[in-house]
Amino acid sequence: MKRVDRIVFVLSLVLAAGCTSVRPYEKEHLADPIMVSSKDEAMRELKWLEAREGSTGGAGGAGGGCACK
Amino acid sequence: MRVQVAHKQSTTWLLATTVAGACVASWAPCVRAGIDETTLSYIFNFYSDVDGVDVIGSYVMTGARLDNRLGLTFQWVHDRVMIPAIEAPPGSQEAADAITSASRPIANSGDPYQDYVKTRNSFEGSANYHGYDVGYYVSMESDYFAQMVSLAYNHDLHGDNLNLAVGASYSLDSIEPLEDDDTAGAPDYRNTTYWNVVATQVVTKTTVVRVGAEFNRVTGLQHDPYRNVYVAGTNVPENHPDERVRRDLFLGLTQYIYNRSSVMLDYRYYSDDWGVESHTIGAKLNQYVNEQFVFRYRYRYYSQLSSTFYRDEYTAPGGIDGNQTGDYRLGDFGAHLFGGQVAWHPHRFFGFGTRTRVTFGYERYFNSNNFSADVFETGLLVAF
Repeated sequence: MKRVDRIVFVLSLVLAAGCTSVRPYEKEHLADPIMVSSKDEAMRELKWLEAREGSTGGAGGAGGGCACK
Repeated sequence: MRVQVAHKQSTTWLLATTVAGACVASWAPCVRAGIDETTLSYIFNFYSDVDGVDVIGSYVMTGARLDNRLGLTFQWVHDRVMIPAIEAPPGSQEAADAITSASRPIANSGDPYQDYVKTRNSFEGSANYHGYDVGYYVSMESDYFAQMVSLAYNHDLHGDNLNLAVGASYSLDSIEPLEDDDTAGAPDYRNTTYWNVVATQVVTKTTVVRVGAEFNRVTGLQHDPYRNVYVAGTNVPENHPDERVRRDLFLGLTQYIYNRSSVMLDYRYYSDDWGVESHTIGAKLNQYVNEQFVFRYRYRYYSQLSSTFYRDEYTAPGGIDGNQTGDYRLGDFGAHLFGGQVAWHPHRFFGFGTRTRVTFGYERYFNSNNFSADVFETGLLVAF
């Protein structure tokens, strides 16, 4: 657990640092529907998977947009 | 060789009780972060497993942006759960070992020989304003009533290349078990406090990375009141601790590939204070066949370690610190899921009309407990 915590923490720092700057006109591919997971679909799947497994989570997050505007 | 009741999956109760939990856990669908256009969609979902349990689900969803800042969503879900009849007299060894005995109420001698059917309806609404989301959810069924309120905020940074989001929710569930011959479930409650934080970063013109953490604290009744477990050779009701702290971390990477396809990779680590620990990895490949059709293939692998108090059978009364369960969901196992989906965009064929998408999907799930299930799903989305 602690190791995973550290990995995520470091990744979070990298993300928060905004290591790259992709300009709006460069985001054509990022805006393609095939780049976005359906949160509704993830929700429906989690609903029955939770009834079959002992874990939960990972299906989405509050907000957490695609950052592709 | 005797087949333990506890090894059989719960059915209606689990589906019922996890719906609210899933809503809390995944959060995002409950309070959507921004609505770009007005949409109306319908999803038909059919689940069928190796034990004869069928679930038919219908989803109606709509979302609208009223002005540049305010968006509203609404969802209605109707589920019909059918659990097959048992084939032996109630109380007999054959009946006790049957798949339905652990997870459906049996209240009289004629009842077990009929399929058990229950329905569930849920309504959910949310409002999104200036990055803030407020939501309310309510679910109703014959033995379970759930409500949840939620609040979230997300903000774009670094030229909209980074999105940070936080969210929290609180749910209050009221549980009133139906009459059952071999368990004695009294009215109870179950409350869940949830929060999460998610960061989504554009890494390159074709790559997005997502990192998140979630935390759940669940209090109250957490076992299936219709389930039994073998203790010293007899069937007795299960008992789980009345508090559970659950947390997970997840990572995701989405990469666009220049033949008009994308790859999505994700990983989730989960642990809780009952000792359950799991790893989940998943991969999806999305591919445009032409302008009208998009195919998707996916695979998911799940591996779980047992809770500290799970046993196939307890040799002495009292369980482990008073807790006892034979629910395989709290034991060691691994699971695979394969699936595919095709999405058709008819407006691209006709060259006019509103944006429309029709989907057909199939998934097969199987685990190391010889359990398997098939899930079919079809849907229609219209954007105005």
